[in-house]
Amino acid sequence: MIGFLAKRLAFAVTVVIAVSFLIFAMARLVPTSPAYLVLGADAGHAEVAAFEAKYGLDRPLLAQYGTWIHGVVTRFDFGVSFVSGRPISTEVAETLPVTLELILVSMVLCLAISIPLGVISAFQSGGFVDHALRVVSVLGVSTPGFWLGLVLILLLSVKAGWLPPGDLPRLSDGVGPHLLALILPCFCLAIYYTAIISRMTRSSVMEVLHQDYVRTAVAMGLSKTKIRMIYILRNGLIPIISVAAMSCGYMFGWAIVIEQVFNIPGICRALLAAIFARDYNLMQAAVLVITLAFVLLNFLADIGYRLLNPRVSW
Amino acid sequence: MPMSAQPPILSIENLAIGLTSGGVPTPIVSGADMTIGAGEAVGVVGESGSGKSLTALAIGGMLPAPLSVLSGRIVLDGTEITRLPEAAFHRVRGVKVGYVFQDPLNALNPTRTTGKHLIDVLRRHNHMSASEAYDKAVAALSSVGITQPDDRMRAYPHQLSGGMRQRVLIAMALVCNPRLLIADEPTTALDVTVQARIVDLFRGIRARGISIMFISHNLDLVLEFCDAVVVMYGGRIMEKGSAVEIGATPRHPYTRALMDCIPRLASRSRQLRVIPGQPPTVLGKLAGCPFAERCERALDVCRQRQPDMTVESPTHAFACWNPAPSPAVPS
Amino acid sequence: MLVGVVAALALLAPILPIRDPLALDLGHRLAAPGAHHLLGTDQAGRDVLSRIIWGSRESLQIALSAVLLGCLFGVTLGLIAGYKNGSILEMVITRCFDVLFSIPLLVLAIALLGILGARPVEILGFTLTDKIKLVGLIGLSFTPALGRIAYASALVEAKADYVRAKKAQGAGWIELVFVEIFPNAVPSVIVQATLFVGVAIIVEASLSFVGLGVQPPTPSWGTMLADARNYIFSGEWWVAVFPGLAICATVVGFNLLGDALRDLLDPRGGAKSTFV
Repeated sequence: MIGFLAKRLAFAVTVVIAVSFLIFAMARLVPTSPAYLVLGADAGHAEVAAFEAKYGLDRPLLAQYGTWIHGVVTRFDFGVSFVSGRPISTEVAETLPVTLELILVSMVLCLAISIPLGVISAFQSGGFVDHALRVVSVLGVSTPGFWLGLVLILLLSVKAGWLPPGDLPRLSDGVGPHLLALILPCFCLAIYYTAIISRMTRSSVMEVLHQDYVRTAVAMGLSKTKIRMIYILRNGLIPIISVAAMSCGYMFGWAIVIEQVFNIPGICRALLAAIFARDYNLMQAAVLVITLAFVLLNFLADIGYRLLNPRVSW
Repeated sequence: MPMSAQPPILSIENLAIGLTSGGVPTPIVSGADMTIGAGEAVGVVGESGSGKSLTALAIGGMLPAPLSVLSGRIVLDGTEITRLPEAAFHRVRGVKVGYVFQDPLNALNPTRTTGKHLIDVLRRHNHMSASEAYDKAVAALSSVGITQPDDRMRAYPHQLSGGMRQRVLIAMALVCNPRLLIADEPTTALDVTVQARIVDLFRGIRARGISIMFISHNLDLVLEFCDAVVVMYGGRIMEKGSAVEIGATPRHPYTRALMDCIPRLASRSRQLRVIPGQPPTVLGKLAGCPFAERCERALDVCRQRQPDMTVESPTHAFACWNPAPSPAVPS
Repeated sequence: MLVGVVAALALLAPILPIRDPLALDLGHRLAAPGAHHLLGTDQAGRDVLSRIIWGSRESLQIALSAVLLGCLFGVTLGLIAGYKNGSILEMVITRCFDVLFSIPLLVLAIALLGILGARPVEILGFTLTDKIKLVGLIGLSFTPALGRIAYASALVEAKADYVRAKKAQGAGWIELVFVEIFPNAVPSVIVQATLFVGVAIIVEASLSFVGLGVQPPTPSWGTMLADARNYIFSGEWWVAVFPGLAICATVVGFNLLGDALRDLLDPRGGAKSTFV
């Protein structure tokens, strides 16, 4: 088990380093210096050189990367934003929790809907729920979340006035408005994976339904509830753990669009803003943090999967 | 077949199993009659699709939808259980009749330990404390010949060998002391050496007074182990009788064909025979004998009318228009 | 069916009797749907219907090329890895798939698009337009999934007797992989690829929506929605609703097609619940 954890951890660290280096290098290999973006296109050579010297941009690539990642790991120091001049660690500390909350709430919402739906339609395959799920899930995977966001803002915020069209008030300013503002973005973020996971749950449970050990349990006269809860759900839901973790990770990508639509001050919106402002320091920090979260999620899911599944050896 | 004075543990009378579509019943198994006495082992033999497994499933009310019992009676231990509601079958399966299935690889829940499997069954059918159930489960494991039962209680199915898993399944089937054990091809998926030991285990179970319905496609094994044999083909009983009678004087051509398929050391010179043709498809039922198309001795009447059971002796009967001569002369 | 209609509209766009999607008509800005403009006009007076139809060309072109690219890379690598079972090459390729699976590809793609910028970039003599960048990055993100599918079927087939027989006859590995093994991977790859076309359409629209994809004034569903965003508060709902419906309908079409293909090419299950 220790060996597995060590190997898995080493893989995760390698991936994070590789991704962060890739972004770091790409940002620096682009011909235009960020100095021109900050100082203006007509900046003089001396000014540019001074800017590059100030941020260490004139040093070799690997040396720059080494200094940066060292600062990140030892002091949680991502450097300063080219645009605002503020330390990026502050930006990350402010925006990351917002995105994490958005994604976690969406995931909880997603699982709370998709698992019961998938299980019911597997148990009553061919029944009403099953047919409804077929239709709804096709619509769910086919609707772009950001467009759904626009339409829901139009209907529920602009026309009906029930829900706020965007912005996320701080939790300290009141739980009610905060949660109210989360409903639409979380729904839009969750819908795609709700469709996917409910169908996966259905097919996974269906597969277990036909296993010999279920027949054994029936032949031993075990109660229906026991067979369903212990024999079927336990085995049927194990694969869903990995899928849910993967989906959680992918949500970071979709959150870029959703945060944009709903004007949510999360790290994904910060990333997008940094991209447009060519604020590479902020951008590489955001990518690093998101990758870290993604890899960590998969790591945890892997462990959870192995804990629940005695067949997999460590 | 030793005639016992006691009433039989299981008696099946004129059982038909099939599906009903648009109000028209289509039988897949029909006219199935058999009895199993106390402490008796009866072998049911046939190729896949002969209806032997469906008959076994019908006893526990486990026919997969849309199949159901169309007509006939099943009496288990003096109680008719033909049309019990599903809930009542929960008190039959595991308690009055235990099942053991073919493939022990998947027959146990991969995420549950051996012990939990046994305890699940015990506590479902008895009011007992967890520690009582645990002790009973350990005893059940050692009674089926599992050494170090305490350790095995904590093992997951994938940590056990095939023979060991089959023993665990047998222990589960017997743990609530049913009077009848239905074993559907219990040794087919196992290695030959393991097979022999599992058959020995079944002998021990029969010696404890538990009746056994032993389903197999291996006539030799059944003749060796069982008291009586029922040969099925295409959803019908072709021949039945005591193991001695069937072994010595098989009358039905199908039974004889099955025997000729078995390689024997004694008849080294003879070529192994195959039965020509394919088993009949379930729904393409003919008016006559289901075996007629593949039968060497088939007459015109065989394709037109279903033969009735001809009683050869109180314990031996067969359904054939043109049976092999008795006593059978090896061709 | 849906796919057919959308494809036909996209192909026929130049000869259909519709308005020029780029023609400005400042006198009829944000006109509501009516006889003159079936689905209304946008903020510059351009006909929404005609922009949707022209936009379908962009979306389908990008989505299809991206999926094809993903298939090309993924299937080739997957087949080779599956055939060269046990070799270093297999390990390298499958590890690459693992790595690609364990990083947030969409986020990375967005960051890379951002770095490369919206305007065409010249790298090594190639001019990367906005569309080529999109196709490349979306295609890349589909590569590991398609690769694993091909890998799985190649693993099975490489051990099959008929492949061994061919090998014994002296067939080279390229012939074995692409002539003998490849056809077996086709059904599952096609099913997945069809479903991915739908995903690609949504990804393209999303990227264009945030300004990283197709650049204005080229009509694309994503950019139309980006423009429309400003008008949902003032009541001009048609500019936001119709392009999205077009996306939905097209993606539903590809998903249904994928499901149908799965039932056709990959029949499995379908049995009803037996015991519980």
